[in-house]
Amino acid sequence: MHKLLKDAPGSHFLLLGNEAIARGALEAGLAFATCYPGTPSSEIPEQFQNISRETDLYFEYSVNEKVAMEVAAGAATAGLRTMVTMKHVGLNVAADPLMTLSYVGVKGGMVIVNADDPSLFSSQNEQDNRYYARLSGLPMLEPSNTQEMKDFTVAAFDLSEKLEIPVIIRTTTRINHIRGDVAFGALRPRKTKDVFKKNPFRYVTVPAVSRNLHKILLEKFDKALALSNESPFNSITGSGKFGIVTNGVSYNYVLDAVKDLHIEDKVSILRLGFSWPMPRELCKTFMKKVEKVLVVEELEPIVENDLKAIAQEVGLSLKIQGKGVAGLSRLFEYDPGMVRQAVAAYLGIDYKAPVPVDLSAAPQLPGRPPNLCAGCPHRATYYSVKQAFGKDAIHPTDIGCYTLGLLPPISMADFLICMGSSVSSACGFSRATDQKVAAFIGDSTFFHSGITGLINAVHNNHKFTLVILDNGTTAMTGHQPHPGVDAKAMGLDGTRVSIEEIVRACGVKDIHLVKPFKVAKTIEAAKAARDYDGLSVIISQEYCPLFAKAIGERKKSRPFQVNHSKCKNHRDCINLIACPAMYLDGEQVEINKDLCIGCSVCAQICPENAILPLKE
Amino acid sequence: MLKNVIITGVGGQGNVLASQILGRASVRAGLKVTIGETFGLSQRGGSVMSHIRISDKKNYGPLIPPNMADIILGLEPLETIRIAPEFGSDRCVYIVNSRPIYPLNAIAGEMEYPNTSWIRDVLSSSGGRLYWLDATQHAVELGGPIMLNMVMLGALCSIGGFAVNEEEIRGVIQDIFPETKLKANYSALEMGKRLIKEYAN
Repeated sequence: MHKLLKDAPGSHFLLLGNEAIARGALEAGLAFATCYPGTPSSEIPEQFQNISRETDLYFEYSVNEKVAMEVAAGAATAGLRTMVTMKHVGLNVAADPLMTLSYVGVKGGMVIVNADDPSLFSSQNEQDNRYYARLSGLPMLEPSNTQEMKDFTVAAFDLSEKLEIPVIIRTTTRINHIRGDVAFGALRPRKTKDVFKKNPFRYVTVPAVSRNLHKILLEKFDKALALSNESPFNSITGSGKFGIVTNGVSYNYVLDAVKDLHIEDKVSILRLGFSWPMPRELCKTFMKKVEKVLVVEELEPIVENDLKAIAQEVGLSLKIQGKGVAGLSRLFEYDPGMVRQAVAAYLGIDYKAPVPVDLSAAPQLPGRPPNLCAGCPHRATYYSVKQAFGKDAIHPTDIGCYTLGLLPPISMADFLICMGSSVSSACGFSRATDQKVAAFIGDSTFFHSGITGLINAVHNNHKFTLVILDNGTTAMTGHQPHPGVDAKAMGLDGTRVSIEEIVRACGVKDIHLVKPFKVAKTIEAAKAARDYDGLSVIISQEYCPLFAKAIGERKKSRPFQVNHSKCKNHRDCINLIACPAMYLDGEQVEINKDLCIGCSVCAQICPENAILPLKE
Repeated sequence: MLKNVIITGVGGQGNVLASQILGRASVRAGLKVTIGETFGLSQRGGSVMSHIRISDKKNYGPLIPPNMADIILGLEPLETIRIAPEFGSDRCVYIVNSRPIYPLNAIAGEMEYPNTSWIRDVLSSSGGRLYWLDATQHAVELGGPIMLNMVMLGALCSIGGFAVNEEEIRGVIQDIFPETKLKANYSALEMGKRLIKEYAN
C-alpha cells in the first residue's frame, strides 16, 4: 500500500512537503487530479499517479497546464473534489481558464497548487504569483512547513466548497522540498461520480451572464475576507512593540532570527497563512499595537504595500518597511542570515555570531555546473546539426534538459522565453534575417505548446528547420509520461500519439527521422533539412539513457576507451562534444568506464579511430 | 534541544538518502525534524547539501542560519570547505571524508582542485572539532563507494551527544532495505563507529 494511504490518524511520518500536500488532498477526499509536471511541484502528481493505480482516484498528466486546469474545472463543476498542480510559469499558461473559472466557480472543492521558484532554481523567471490571487479574486493559502502543507490542503478543499470557487495554495521551492514530520489525520471517503446539473446562466460565460457572475465573485470575495480575518492560519504572537509581518517560508527565518537575537519580549509577529484576501481587520489590530513594522516577504512588496494602504485608511502613520532594509530586496529567495541581519538592523541590535571559518587565503574553488549526462542523445543531435548549420545559424531553443545546449562547447541556444517559444520565435527570426534558423524543442514541450507554432509556420510559409528532440519522456522533471510516450513500456494505459503523424498532419512536407547515435546519417539529414526551401522538421529519436535504464530498455553496450597508440591528441572528442565521461590524465584524454554508456558518438568523430570499445 | 546538522557532498553519493534516514530515525525517536535540501539542475555530479534540524520541541525552518551548524558531515572535501565559511564556526564538529571527487572543470584542467591537506588544516584550525576520515576507502572494502553514506552515518552517531542513536538508525535501515542488504549496511555503520574511535585515540 502506498505510504500516503495509511489509515493511521495521529501517527507521525517523515514526508516531503509535496507529499504532505498529496496526503492533505487524500484526507479531504480527493477524487480527481490533473497536472502538467514542473519543478518544484512535480512530486505531488507523482504520488497521485502511483495512488491512482491502487485506488479509484482519477489522475492524468495533461498535455499542458491550461488543459489540466480545464479538465479539472469540468470535474469540479460536475461535483468532484479536484486538484490541479503546476509551477508558477505554468499558471501563466493556465491563466486564461483561471480568470473566468473564478467567475463560474465550482461545485466540488477545487484546489490549485501553484509552486513559485524564487532564486530561479529551475525556471526562466521568478515571478510572484501572489498577484494571481489578486488578479483572479481567488483565496490563497501559504503554508510554512510540512504539517501545514497537509493541514492547509484539507482546509483549502472545505473553503473551496463553502465559497464555491477554486482556492490557490501557493508554495515556493524551499517549501515544496522541505522534509518534516507530519501527523496524519483521518481519510475521508472519495466521491468519484456525480451528476452535472445544467445551469447555462452560471456556466456559459456570454457577456450578459458574466456581468452577473463578476458581481457574484465580488460577493464571494467579501465572504472570503470575513473568513480570512477569523482564520487560525493568520495569527498574532508576542506582545512587543516591534512588529514583524511575514508569510510562507520567511516565517521560519523570522522565528530563527528572534530566537538567535534573544528578542522574544520585544517583538510581535503577524503571520499570514490565509494571505488573500488580506485579513484587513487583523492587520489593523496588529498595527495599532506596535510602533513600527518590518515586512519579511520574498519577491514583490505586496504585503508591504497593502499594509501601507490599510494604515492610511485608519489614519496610522507608523513606519512600515520591508524592501530596502539591510539585504531584503525584490530579488531571489531570502535566507535566515539575511532575515536575521534585517531584523537586527531594523531594531538596532548588535549581534555577535559565532566565529566563522576563515577562508580569506583560499584559492578560487571549482564549481560543479550542470551538464548533459554521459551518453545523452541531445549532445549527439547538437553535434550533427552544428556540422550542417555552422556557427552563424540562429538556434531558438525551448524548455527541457536540452536547454543545457547553451553551454560550451555546444553553444547552440540563442533565444528562449517560455514553453513552445522555439517554434514560434523561429518564424520571426527567419523572416527578419537572412540567417539560417534551426530551432530545438523536446518531445513533451512539443505536445505542451509547440504544435500551434508549427501550424502557424506551415500556414504562413515560414522557412526554417525545427529539430524535435524525442527522448521518449519528460526527462527534466523526472521522467513523466507525455502523449508521445510508449505507454505500454511505462505500464500505463494511455493511447500513444505519434509526433511524426502530427508533424505530417500539420502540413510539413520535409520530414527527417534520425537516430542521433548514427552520426554520419544524422549530419546528412541535417544538411538536407538545411537545404530544403521551406519548413523542414528533423525528429531525433533516442531514449534518455536514465529513463531507458529505469524502464529496463537500455541496451547493453560496452564502454569505450582511448587507444593510446592510435590517439594523436586532436582532442575533437573533448573539445567538440565534452561528454562528462571524458577527462584529461596529464595530456592524454581518457574515458571513465563507469560513466560511459557506450553511445559511441566520440568514437565516430575521432579522426584517428582511436576510441574503441573496451575489451572484456 | 536543537541539533543543526548539514550533510554535504556530490550528487550520486547518497546524500539525500542519508538525510532521509536521519530524518526518519528522528521521527522514530519521537523528535521533531525538518530537512531542507539544496541542489542544482544536474542529477549527478552537482553539489548537494541537506540541512537537518532536530529538536525535542518544535519544527524549525528548512535552512540553518549562518554559522549555526552544530555538525557538518562532509561526504567530500571540496564540498565541505565550500560551505564551511557560511555554516561552520568555532563551535562546529566536522566529520569529513577525505577522498575528493574531481569536478569536470578540474578534470579538464581549467580549474585547480584545492589541496586536501590545506582543507584539513583550515578545518582543524577553525576552533571546531575535526574528524578527517578515509571513509571511501573503507566503503569500497565493504562493497563499493555506495556504502559511503552509511559509514558516515555510523560515524555521526558515535561522536557522543548526538540527538539520534545508532539503534534508531538501524531501525530505519531495517524498514527501507531488503533483507539481503541489511548486513552490509550494518557493517558500514560499525565501520563508521570504529573510524571515530580510532581517530579519537
